[in-house]
Amino acid sequence: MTKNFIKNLIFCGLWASAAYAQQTLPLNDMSAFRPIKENWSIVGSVVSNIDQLNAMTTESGSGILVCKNEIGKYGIEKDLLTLMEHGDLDIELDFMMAKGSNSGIYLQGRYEIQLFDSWGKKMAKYNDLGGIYERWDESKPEGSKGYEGIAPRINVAKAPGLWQNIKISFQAPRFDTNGKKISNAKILSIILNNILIHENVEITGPTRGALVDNEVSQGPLRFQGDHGNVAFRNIKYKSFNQKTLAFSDLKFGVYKGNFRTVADIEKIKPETSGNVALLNWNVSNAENEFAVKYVGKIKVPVAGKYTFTTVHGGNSQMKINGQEAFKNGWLNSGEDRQMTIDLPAGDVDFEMYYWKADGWLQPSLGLYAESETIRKHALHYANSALVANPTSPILLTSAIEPVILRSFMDIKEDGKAKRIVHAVSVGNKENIHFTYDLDNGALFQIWKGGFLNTTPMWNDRGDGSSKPMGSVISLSDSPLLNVLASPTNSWGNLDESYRPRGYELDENGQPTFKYDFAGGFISDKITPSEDGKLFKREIAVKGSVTNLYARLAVAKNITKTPEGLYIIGDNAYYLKVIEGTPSIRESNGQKELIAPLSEKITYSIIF
Amino acid sequence: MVSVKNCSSLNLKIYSKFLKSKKMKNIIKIFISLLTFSSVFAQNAAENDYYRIITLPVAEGMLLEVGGITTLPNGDVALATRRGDIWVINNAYMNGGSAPYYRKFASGLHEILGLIYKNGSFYCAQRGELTKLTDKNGDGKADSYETVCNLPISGHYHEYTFGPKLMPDGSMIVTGNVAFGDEEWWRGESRRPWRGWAVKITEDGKLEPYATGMRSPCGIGAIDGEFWYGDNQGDWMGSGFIAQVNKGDFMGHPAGLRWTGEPNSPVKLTTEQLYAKIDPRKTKDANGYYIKPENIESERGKYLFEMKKDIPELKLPAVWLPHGVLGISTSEIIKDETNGAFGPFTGQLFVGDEGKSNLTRVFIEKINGQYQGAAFPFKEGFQSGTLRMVFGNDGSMFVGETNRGWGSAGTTTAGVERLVWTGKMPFEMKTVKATPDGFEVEFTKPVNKATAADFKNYQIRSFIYKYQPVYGSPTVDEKFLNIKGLKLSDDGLKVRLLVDGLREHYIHELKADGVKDIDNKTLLHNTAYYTLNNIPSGEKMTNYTPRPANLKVNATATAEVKLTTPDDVSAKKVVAKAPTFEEVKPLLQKHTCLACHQVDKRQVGPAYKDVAKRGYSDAKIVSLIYKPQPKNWPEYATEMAPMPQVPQADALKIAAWINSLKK
Repeated sequence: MTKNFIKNLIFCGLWASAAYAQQTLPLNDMSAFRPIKENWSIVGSVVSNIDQLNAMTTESGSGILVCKNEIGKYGIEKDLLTLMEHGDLDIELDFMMAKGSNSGIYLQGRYEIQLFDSWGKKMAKYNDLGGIYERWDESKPEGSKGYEGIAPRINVAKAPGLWQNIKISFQAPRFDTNGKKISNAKILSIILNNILIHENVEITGPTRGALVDNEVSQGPLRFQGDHGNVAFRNIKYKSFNQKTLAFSDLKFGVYKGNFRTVADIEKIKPETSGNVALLNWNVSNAENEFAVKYVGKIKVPVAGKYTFTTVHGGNSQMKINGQEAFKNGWLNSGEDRQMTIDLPAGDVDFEMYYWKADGWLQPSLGLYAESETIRKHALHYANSALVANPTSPILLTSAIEPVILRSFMDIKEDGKAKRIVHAVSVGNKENIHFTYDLDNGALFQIWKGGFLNTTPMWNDRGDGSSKPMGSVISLSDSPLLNVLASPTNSWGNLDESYRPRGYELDENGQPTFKYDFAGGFISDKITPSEDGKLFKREIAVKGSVTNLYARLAVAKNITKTPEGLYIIGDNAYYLKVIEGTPSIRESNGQKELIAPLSEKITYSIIF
Repeated sequence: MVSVKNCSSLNLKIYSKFLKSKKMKNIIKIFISLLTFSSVFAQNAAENDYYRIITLPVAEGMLLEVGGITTLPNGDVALATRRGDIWVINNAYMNGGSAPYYRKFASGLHEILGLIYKNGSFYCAQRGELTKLTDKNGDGKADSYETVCNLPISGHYHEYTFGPKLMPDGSMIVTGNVAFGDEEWWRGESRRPWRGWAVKITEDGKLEPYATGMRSPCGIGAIDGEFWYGDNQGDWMGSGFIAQVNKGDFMGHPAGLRWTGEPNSPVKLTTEQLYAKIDPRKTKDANGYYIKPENIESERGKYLFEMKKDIPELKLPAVWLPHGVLGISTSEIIKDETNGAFGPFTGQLFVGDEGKSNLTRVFIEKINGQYQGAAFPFKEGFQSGTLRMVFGNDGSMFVGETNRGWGSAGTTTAGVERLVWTGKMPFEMKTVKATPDGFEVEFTKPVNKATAADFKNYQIRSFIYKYQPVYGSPTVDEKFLNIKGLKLSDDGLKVRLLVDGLREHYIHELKADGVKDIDNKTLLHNTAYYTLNNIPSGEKMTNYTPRPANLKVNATATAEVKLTTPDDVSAKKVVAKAPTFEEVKPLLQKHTCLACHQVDKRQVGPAYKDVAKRGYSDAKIVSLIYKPQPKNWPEYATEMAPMPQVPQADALKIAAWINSLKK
């Protein structure tokens, strides 16, 4: 049972710490950084170009940190260092690459997470976007000097000029009192464009091009600035000290029986008792109908606000510093509950009961502590919080031919959950994929990376749905087509003339979707480019329909570049019209890119 | 606060296993309540003398969770699967011993649950669509995936769509499961038009609502140009059954009545009209939460046929398939039109069953314009749930199988098997027909007349189910009937029984244990279940042998025992020494426990050894037999149904034996 909890903890647990505020690295001016040459500056906006090498033009203002450097002009002095120095760190930022550009984020100035224009690459290496850069040993023979570089799990790099997002969770190396390293630096996780690309990866030493070739407890954050143009914004972080909470003199007692309350437990004497360093349900030597009581002290390093999270299958009740922290409460294996409490520095009293009376529940017990400056850490033996085995997933990958699969598809629309029931997903060997809503003729999501996780549909009874396994860009699920008596009429739903006709496969297995609408016969074909950088969409109508329009995009912002590309949303993707006469209009506070459809419209979605 | 809980609740939708809240439980609920079957009929070895199962070899990694099966004009067999593929099997008959070849004709469809072949195209029901698949360029693969008709659906996991079945006018009938409520997770509901309905769809996509009252209409059949449907136990469904369905029929489940106000609805009955006649038991507790209706033993309740006088649109089952005995989850209904190539049952129906992984044989006759007839156990021991069947062109039967997360008596997840008649004549009750004063049994072989004329070798018991919003119904209103006379035909192939106390609409269980054929072999299956919707008029029997005056009526009833409350700890003492398996086996068989439980192996339900490990008291086990707590076993997809009909003494013996398995 509870097969998926570990997975949940992994995917959800990463950033699921208590809501302590992140700090923002101010980008009003350069005051957050050590003095630097002119290649770095603060600007108000940046525009790049997907075709032109290293193109990046800026407008004055604030909020965006930009590096302008001609490709080929190297020098470590061009790198930017923060005044802030860090050990353990969670950092999140947006970045934009120029075409062909190369940069990097060096944690503690020493461990590089590579930033690169890896757009369209099928197989990402350690030196592609999101790679942990290789280490370097000059003493080794040519060809084997570089070692231990780690490629991202998949390539989810977007096109140059689009904003991308990275979240890094870093654990600094640890040293003993003599300064000898006792544990390696560690990438706890990296999430690139919402996809987990690294998890729990140790780095045995500084990567190539480190600021200094040593390892330390604290070091500045460093942005590489000598390989091309790059921009950053929204740099937010949480910096942690290496302090932890710890038990002292923790005693346990084990009680056997079927209990409902602490009072029931206290009616009898413990069968066994002893001392332990950390919480562990397993001291019970029983699977069910037992209780464990822990009593001892917690050493609090500094006075302040602390958040405790507990996970358990069954009941628990907990007191800290004489205050009720968790009331008697039942949780299913894998669920958690959380509370925050002010604690003084020094030893405080701790008391916790854990008991279980449901035979079907897997026993488990975990307790985590964290604060503004202390990273979330376990106060239990790792295995005490593990439950059963995760479900083996059922994954659908795209091989040679396009893979087509119908399923329910869950999306968010205007912040609300929506299940699309007549959805068709198409996976391509080019590693870009899409889902189409047959009820609206809508191309409502595109993504790069893996194709589909079909476990929700095909494991056990399933619920009929599948999930994309890559970095998703959500497009509108509204109808592609409308008949607009006037081009200022607002976009509406389809009328009863809409009738889906399914799809036909061409000789390559690519589908063309077909439907009838307003007396016309519509065909809609979406194919990936060979380089995996864009989808080409061809919409055609047969039969005469007057005032038929296609809405190619709807977003808060749509701007047209001098080269004729449309930038959609907050630089989320580009749209290029090949055939058709689009115009941008404003409707209901949104920008819409609409074009009359008399015979054919062709456009690309570049991302 | 951001907590892991928030994240995991998203996944709850998907992973049904660890749901605490009742709201989410609809996911771990039911399409079928698997319970049982009776090993009274467990005569696999004997069945194999007459009908053999041949398992088709399937390549590793090819998962054939069959939802549809059909034949092509050239005899090839085609399968549609849950994974969304359509496979055409060449050399399915393996003539010469060589392996079949599977050609993937189509893929990517949404959990297909039906398949036909018509005019060079396949038609299949996906979750939300009737689709036509055509190979236009002749490469053996579909290139046209045409939407014949888009079907409204909400996206609830239980909204399966079955079919199509081809009608004589070229139209196709498709059926749709209900969804379940959110808070009332036990109550079937129709969230979109025509869920809980059968709809008729023309080739050009015109949809016509056909009939409603269906809950889980996986059982579908086109028999002699008429549409047949089968459902299984569930809310408002006392037991599984099959019925012939005409346009405008209402089959008993209220969910689909939500749409009878639509102008094109052929059913006019409203939910309000139905609920005025029967209480849906939508009651709330003190905290304002709905209470799940449970069977109330002390209440007689209503029977489905009694509703008929108020609700003329109500269509009664043609033949009940007693839950747990013959099946638990009715599936495909097909007719034997092999002209003897499949054995002696030409013209009869065969019904599959997902959970029990068996086939039931049904003889039907029309009395007063209404179908009724007898159901017989036919064949068990299939490797997985028998969901779909079709006769091949050599008269053998292909059986498409899956248990797709519900568990089944057959322990394999999926596959395809072939059932072949060996050519030997089994000794069976070929038909049971209603007569004005009893029944006439026709045998497949002449009988040993002495055994067939012996009243001791027959027993007739009649019973019925309640019509209620509760999940299923126990068998109720049981009576043992007196066989007052009998008469054998001269050729020894028929016996006519004069029966006292026949009750229309009741299920009449006829046991002919002890009747032998001229080779002194007993019946391969000794029991028939006749649904007596109408007692025919006509000539009464004369010149029969009367029952000996001093002969008691056979009634293997169980003796009444003094009831103790389940929580009574002294109940343990009733059984001083734990019985042995040999001692409890007849009880486990009789109460159909062995359909779902084995001693040391997981089946539909947990192994008895695993139950023993829970350390329940005997009394607790008894209480769990009467009122199972499926939440205790979240790893098992299928709920155990309450078994209040098991007498306390039997339950205690079973409990004591279970606990004796503790090590």
